Amino acid sequence: MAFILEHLLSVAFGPWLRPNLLLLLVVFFNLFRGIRYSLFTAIVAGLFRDSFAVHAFGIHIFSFVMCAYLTTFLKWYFYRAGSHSFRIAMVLLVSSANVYMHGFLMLMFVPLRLSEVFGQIFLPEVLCTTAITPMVFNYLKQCALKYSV
Amino acid sequence: MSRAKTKLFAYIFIIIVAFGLLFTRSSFLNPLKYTVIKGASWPVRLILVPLREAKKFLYYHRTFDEYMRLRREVNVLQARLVGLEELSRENNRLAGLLGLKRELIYSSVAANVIGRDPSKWNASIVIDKGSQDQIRVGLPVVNALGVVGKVAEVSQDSAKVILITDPGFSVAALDQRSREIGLVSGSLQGLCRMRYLTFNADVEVQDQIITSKLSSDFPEGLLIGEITRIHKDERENTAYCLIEPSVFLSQLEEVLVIITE
Repeated sequence: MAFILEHLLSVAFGPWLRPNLLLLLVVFFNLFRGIRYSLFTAIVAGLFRDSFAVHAFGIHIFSFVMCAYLTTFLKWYFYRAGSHSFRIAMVLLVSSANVYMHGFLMLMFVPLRLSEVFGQIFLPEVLCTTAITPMVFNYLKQCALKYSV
Repeated sequence: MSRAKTKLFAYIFIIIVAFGLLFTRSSFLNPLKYTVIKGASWPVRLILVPLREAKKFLYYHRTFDEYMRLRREVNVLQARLVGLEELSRENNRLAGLLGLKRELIYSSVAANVIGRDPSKWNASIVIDKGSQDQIRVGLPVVNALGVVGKVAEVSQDSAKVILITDPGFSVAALDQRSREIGLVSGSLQGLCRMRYLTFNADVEVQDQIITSKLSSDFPEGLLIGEITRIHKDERENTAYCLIEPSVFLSQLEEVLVIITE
């Protein structure tokens, strides 16, 4: 559903309102259900993204898996349970790391300009993803409680 | 081995497998990829149908004005065509006299767009024609307005097309007015970039860029777009132009795949 929603947002709003909803799922499952759920989500989410991509298969899977590990690391060492600001800061960090990791992996296969990566992808994606984090996490939490995932 | 160690090995193994996937042959994973594409595409298409219909209704006036403008344009072009046909016949006759090789006439396959990559890193679409319709990797994809991209991957009944705005796309091109040659590639900005121009290259804003004879995949003379900005680098003694594609890539619904030899 998150993938379909990303699709629809990209059609409706173009490049400027494209939050990384799949990454939010990975972080959410890590915080609320642990690394195993998070890794599973990362692999499935990456598979969806990579299936549509035309460059090397696996870039999204790898970057999502690394994001799942990074979330676990941040959770172990810095997490304060129930802190909303920590969750937002964590999403900001993880989504920044995701863009740069993805950018460097892409550079192995495609010529990219880092200034373009910053302006066209980093800023819109990181800001948009961070901005909608509280809303999405609340919604996911309600869903998780309702369907006891 | 302790439980903690087994877990650690499993986590490291996942990283290695995920990294190893980057270097696997793409065709080996094609069945899995196209199953996911088909599964994810149909709900999107289903939701987009009413949205598109609503848009048509909302933009009725704009569409009608556009229709009237195009009808006037067709009349003017039809008048011009009469003269051009005469010139074409004369050109054929003279080319025959000089023994020049004639341009090949290509066949084409019409295809519907059934999917689109929502990621900002790639610009690609999925079409509903595949290897069973003679589609091969590298074939040029166009529509009435110009170059759309080229086929990047093929399955039996669908194919992925890399769009001209993807950073991984490139095609030899030339300025239609000055005949300056360069290489057009995509960028993350959603525009194309024409590179390898000399500092003094005769290029101007609003010049039209077309595919060149030097391109191995594309027939000569297909419209790519129009120059919107020129950047000159004195230190490197080079220049590059930004090109606005002639095709509205975000609104693609049907395309033509040109079947070349």
